[in-house]
Amino acid sequence: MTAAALAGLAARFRTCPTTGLKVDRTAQRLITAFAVAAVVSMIAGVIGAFALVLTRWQAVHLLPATWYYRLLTVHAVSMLIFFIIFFEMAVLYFAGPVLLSSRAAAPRLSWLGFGLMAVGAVLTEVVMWSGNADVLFTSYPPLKANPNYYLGIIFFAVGALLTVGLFFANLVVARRAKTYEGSVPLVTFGATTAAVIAVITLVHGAAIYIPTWLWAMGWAPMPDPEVYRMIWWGLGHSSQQINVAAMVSIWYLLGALTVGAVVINEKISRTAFFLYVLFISMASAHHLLVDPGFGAAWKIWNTSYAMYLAVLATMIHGFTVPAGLEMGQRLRGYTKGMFEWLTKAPWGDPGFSATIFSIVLFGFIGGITGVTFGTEQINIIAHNTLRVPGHFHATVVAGTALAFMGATYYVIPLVFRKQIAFWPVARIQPYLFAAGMALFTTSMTFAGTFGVPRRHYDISFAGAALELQYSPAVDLLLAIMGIGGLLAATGATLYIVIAAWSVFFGKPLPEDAKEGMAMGFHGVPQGVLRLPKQAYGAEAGEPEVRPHEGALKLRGTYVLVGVFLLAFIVYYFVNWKLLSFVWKVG
Amino acid sequence: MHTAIAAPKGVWWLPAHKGEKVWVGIAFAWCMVLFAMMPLWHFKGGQNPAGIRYKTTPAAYMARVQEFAQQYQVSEENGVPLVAPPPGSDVYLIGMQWQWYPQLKLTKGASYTLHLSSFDVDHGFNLYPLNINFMVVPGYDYGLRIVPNQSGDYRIVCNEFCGIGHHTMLGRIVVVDGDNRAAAPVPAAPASGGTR
Amino acid sequence: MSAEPTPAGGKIPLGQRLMDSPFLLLVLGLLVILVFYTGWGLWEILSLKPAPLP
Repeated sequence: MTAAALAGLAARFRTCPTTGLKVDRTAQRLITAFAVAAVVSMIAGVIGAFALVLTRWQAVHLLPATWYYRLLTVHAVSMLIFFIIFFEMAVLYFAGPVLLSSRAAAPRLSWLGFGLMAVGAVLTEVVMWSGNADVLFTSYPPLKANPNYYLGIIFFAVGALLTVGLFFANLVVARRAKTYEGSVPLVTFGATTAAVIAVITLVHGAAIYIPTWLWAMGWAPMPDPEVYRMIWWGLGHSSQQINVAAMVSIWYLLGALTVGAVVINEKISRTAFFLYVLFISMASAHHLLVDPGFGAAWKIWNTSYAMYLAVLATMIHGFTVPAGLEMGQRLRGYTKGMFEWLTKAPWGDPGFSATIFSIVLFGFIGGITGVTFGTEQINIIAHNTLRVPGHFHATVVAGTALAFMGATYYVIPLVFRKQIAFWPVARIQPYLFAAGMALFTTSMTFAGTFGVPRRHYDISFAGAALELQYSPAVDLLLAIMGIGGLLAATGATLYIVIAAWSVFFGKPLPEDAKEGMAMGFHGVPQGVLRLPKQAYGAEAGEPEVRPHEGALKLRGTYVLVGVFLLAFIVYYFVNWKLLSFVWKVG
Repeated sequence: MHTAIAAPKGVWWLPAHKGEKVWVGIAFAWCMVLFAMMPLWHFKGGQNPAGIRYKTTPAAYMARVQEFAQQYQVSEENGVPLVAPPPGSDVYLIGMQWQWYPQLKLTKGASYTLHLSSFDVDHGFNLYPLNINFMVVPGYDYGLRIVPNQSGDYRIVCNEFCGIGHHTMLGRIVVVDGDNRAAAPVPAAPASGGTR
Repeated sequence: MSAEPTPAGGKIPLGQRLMDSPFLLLVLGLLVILVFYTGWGLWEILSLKPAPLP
């Protein structure tokens, strides 16, 4: 290699002053592009969120019917597909080239992937906003949208598939270049899990959107409605499982960065991710439990993620993540009592608070409700009621999106090298968002048990030939949903403003971290300034801390998971009881 | 110990600590309970989505619905037949943009096979206030054996988006004590709101 | 738990080698879902009989 080429290669990387990682500038630019695209998509989604919340809050009923269904389509597609997958592509570039200190392969192809996704997203948004796709995110035939709706999503999916393929290529590049020794870090392994599930998702997406587009163009017969539902949910739910894998990876990442959380056991954590790879996508079946197309055996086997082995995986992470936090904090000296590690944790660090709220809300509200009414028979009293969006806003919004928000607060100083703007607001943003989502999801869940339907414009049924009056309790619940939703949407708006302002107008951090620390700058999370020893001390030749085998004094975590299991057991059997009261049906 | 952003070197496939093993064991046992409940309820429980399932066509199914309605009609409400089939019979309900047809009058404690299908797009059958929910898909005949256990004037809410009239789509099932073909007064609507 | 150095001439355990193979993970993931969910699901739908509507 020529001296010039070597110099060129060196210039392509910068060394992160905080972590010592070698960051490929191409990867950094791609992370920037994907993250910005994610936040822009979120804007469309949040506009929808405000309008929808003020409409389903029946006392306000802001939008007319056409715009309700239209913005419901916009909100779901913008958040569940565009925002979250753009963000996940950024995560793949971080967990791949950046964490492995290696180069991003095929930069031109990488930009092509991004470009396809951007073009697809813009096309789909235009079609939706112009009223040519009032079919909701699921677009079930015989409902038909303008063909460009499906085409935009196809472009997006092809770009995403290319980007995911390049992630696998980047893993190979890093291994061949020996930029790391041993196995990839756990965060990278989690991201690999997410990438596998992304391929599963996108393969099903291609299989269903291409024939549907052909039908919308008039070139092919309509896909069978049941076949469509099954294959579509192979995209629709699996995409949410990408979110689970990515979220858990972010929990491990932020645990490490905020408090020096340690990996208790690589084998256990990686095996849990492996169970996700094998089984988590099967649960797409829980959208089809009360469908005529499938028998009981298929429903039971698939909805159980193969005997609940993927739920076992989540329960494992539900232990190892807090255990890692607790151990990390204990190693830093917070050893008093059962919970000093938690009470004395950096609650003013938005990366930390977002992580904790994400774990709690995902586990207690999202996970428990989802597994419960994903039970083949319990689904009878839950399908298509507000219990469903109550559940998935707890998992994908209070869980994944909130974790992504927390990650953003570390990406801004570490990758973008900027201070976080509006720092006092940033510190409380996760609290506002989490509180809003907690109110929003629990009230929706309760309203759903009263039978209130999801995706429904008017539960006063004005204009219907018959009458129906829900309990007055429903009005109260929808008002709480309204208030919680407004609070959460405000929290999301604050996040967008803070992130966008920081990236484009934020004060730069100096390249030399020591110089920066000497300046004592504002708007940087504590994990960036004061890293715990176990985070980066290992390669400095210091002896690794090795707790005695079996001496895992993690009393705090044991209590927390015990409370979780108890809540799970109670909620689960209460629902069987509720089911037993309705008519015999079968 | 190392963090999750460090690359672990050497062999990390090592046994877990006791505390971890205990938790994994407990979680695994709970997962087996979760799994066992479904086949258990399938064979012993009263509510299952198994049903009797067939393929059909909207036209053929609609013809069957109309035949059924004519055969057992007892009156008419707002232009929609109120139909009272005998216990043990096949009951045919169709969902279409934007109504449920016909209205049904059933006897408490009697068993019926309720067939669900759609004339046009997907619909969702939600029986208020019980919160019983099933999909209504064109081209598919979903037959569910039901036994009403309480009299009342129930509503069918559509809970699968089916176009701009989706939120006006309501249907009706009346359940009476005694003979549903007798001209008995229609009972009051079941206590609003509660699912139980 | 911390990683131990590779034993002299020793092998990396099979489980660790499996986890270290992203392409194998990809193949396994695709195989399981395409068999249990997609393939079996299609078979379920396609094996439904026409309703005997008299």
